[in-house]
Amino acid sequence: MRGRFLALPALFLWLCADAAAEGLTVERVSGRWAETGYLLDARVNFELDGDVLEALNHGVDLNIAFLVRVKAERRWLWGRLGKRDAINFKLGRRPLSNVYVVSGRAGRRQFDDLGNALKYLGTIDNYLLLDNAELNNEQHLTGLFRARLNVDNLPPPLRPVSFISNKWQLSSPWRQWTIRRP
Amino acid sequence: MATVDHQTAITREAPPGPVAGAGGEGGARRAMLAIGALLFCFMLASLLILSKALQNSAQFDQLYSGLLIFNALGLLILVALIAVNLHSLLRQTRQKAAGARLTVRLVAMFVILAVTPVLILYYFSLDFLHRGIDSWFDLRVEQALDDSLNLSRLALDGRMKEILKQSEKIAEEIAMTDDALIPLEIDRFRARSGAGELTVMGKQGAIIASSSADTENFVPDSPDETVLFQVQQGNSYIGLDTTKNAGLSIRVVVNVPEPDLNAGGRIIHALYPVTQKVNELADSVQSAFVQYQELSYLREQLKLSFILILTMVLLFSIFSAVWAAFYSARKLAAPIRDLAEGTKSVAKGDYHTRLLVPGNDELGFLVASFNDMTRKLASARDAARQSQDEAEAQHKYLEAVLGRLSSGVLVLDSEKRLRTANISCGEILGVEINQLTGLSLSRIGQRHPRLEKLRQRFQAHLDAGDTDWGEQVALFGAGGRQILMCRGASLVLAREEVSVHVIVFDDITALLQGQRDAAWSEMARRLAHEIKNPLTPIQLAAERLQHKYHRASPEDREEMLHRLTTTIVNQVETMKAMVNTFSEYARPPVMAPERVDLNLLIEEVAELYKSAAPAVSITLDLKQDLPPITADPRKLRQVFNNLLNNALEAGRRAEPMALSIATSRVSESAMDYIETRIRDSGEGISEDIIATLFEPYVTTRRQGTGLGLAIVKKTVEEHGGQVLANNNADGPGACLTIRLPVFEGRSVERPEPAQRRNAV
Repeated sequence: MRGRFLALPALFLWLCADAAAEGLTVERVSGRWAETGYLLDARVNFELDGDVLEALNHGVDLNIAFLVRVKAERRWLWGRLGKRDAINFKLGRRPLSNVYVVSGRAGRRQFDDLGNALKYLGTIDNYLLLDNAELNNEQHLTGLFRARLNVDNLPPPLRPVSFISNKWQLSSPWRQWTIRRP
Repeated sequence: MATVDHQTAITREAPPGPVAGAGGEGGARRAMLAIGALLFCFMLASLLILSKALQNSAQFDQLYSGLLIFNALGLLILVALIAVNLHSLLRQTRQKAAGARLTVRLVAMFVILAVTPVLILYYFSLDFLHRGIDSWFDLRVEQALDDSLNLSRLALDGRMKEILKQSEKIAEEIAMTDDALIPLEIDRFRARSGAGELTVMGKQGAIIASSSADTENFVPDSPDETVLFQVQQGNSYIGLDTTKNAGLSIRVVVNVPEPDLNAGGRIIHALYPVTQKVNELADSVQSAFVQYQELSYLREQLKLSFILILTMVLLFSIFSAVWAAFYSARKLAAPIRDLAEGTKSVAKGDYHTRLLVPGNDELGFLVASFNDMTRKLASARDAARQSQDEAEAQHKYLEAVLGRLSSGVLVLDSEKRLRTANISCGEILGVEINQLTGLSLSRIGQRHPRLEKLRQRFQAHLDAGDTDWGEQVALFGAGGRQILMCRGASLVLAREEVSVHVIVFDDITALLQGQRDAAWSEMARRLAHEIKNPLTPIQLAAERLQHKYHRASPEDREEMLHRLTTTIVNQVETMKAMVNTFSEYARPPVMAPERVDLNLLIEEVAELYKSAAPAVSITLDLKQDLPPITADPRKLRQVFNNLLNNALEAGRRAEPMALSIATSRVSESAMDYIETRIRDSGEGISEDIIATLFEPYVTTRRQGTGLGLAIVKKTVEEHGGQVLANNNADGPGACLTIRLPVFEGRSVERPEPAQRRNAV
């Protein structure tokens, strides 16, 4: 009886582990200090195939989120979370014009080719992560970056499947870099 | 609440207190019921919201995932509640708790009644769900949507071709225009082409001049890199695009034909807005197509989601029904369970059990009747117990009174069997009375021949039907004569409707003996007083007569005178001695008690007799280490003198004469005695006089006064002892036994009546 109860958490852990399958890869992430503050540059590679691509081509919009964290490192304790930010994009297809549309912070862009759309989507340049006033007392800062498909914004019928299917769990591992004060 | 373990609403009433309530249990039950109802309402609302969210309601869309998890957790909680209930019920069933089997039946019945229609509904709902969703999608609809989309595309394609040709004409005109003049001419070019926005730029994207119909928009739109790259390759670009402000537009990018090959090259970028109507129609067609396409793609997922929600509703309904079944079954079975428990308690004799009345229905009436019944039973039992206690108290009281009575009391039933008897009865009769209980009179007579005469007298009165009688009965045995004063009466016991005979008897032997002794003493005292006074003058007169007429009498008369006067004097002396003896017997006891070693005293007396009668064999068997007694040694010495005299006189005719004296320590009735046995080898005591041996003037000797043994008895009794006489069982001769009490640490006291009674 107790073994049966233990099987449920084990199944959940297996699903979680399976859900960590990578569909998004952070190729590069870096930053630099400019006059306005710390600017983030990142390159993310998207490999959409299977169910996700099929859904996109059938009119399902995909919400891509780039999650950014900034931690202030401490000597004897773990880092303090100084800032968290999310850069959200929506990727969709318009059948009439047969283009892919990317909507986000920079407005709306359309592309004839999915590759170009994903390339545009995966390119983040000069994103103001920290202004000069933020965390100016901290000397040792660490940035964390990851990209993931936000399944919470999928149509409701798709959500139960997306919760338990690794095909929909597109997520990159956290990528870390050091933010050095000038 | 059903998860609460079986707790009966049985209370014990402290007689005659009120019925106690089960407030704590009821409160917990109500709290659990409220929690269960709250969970039910939350889950119901959650399922409704979930259903709304699945229908893409914007209001609940974001709650979908949370609701799904909440409902799953709610179901798990319900399952846990049911599991706890089920476990509790199974445990109670195994323990054969009251009402458990009834609860199982009710739960099973409720579950079957609730689950069966729900499952049927679920089956048909699934079927309808599949059919309904499948019916949404039709090939003809899909084809129509495809066609409308293609039609839209074709319509826009035709327009785009015209716009491309027009744009290329404008490009040829611009080619003939110098760069410096283009800003002056561009408004005209734009107006003639009908474009919303027209921009002339270099091939690298540098803007040369721009014109826009939107006077508020000063920043011209620019094509992206891929379009520029395409145009740089010599190809024109035309496509539908969505601009910031104008909605759907046709974007055209064409090269300006340059006559001078050395020139850097220019391009024109034009945006042609489509009409509002076309825009709306195109947007409608695209939206419908996308929605249908999305629905078509999500058909299976949609079914799955609906099935998921339907299954959740089903499970929620079933689990709620099962939980409610547990609750209802327990609530229904509770009064019956309480009744069963109460009945068990009553069967065990607990009549103070009270049940909580569940309501005003038939079960409530039943429980109230049960409470009324137990209350009456308790009252009846209490009354019976009180009567029993009173009867027992009376019985104990009577037993105590009878036990301390010196009279013997015995009760014979109608069949003349000994029913009860007190302790004194056994003591008086000298039998173990407990062993005779239940025996008939005739059986008692057979077992104890000494009591046969008593039995005969009892039998005679009972057979004669005497209801109130009295008689003095004399018993004879080894201990001598025993005189009992008996009184009998018949009693009818109303409770048992039988008659019994109560016989009370007293041992009046000692009383009679005492009366006789007192009479003898009085007579002896008067006799001594009346006779002793004239004896001395008689003796003096006889001596004077002898002295005076001794010389004067003739020879022949002198001899006769001397003989006669001597006889008178001797007889007077004898009479004096007799009178002294009477005086001794009649005098009041004057004791000079001291500690006496009885063995030593006996040895001294025996030594005298050994010297005086050497022909007699006197044997001493004296127990060593006997405690000293408190007595008057002079009187004791007289007692032993009398006894030894008697023994020697009795054995005078026996040859050879043997006498033995033995002492020992005996205990009787919690008293210690020193017993002295004096056995002779004479002829023994005649049965005719053995009962009155110690009375005055009872003697077998011609010269005896008959007061020796009477004085012995009187002296021994003055010392608190007793004297017995019987014939030897193992040979000729008699044995006289003296028992003197050992008053350790105490002076001589008057003997107790019981001790006196046993003395013969």
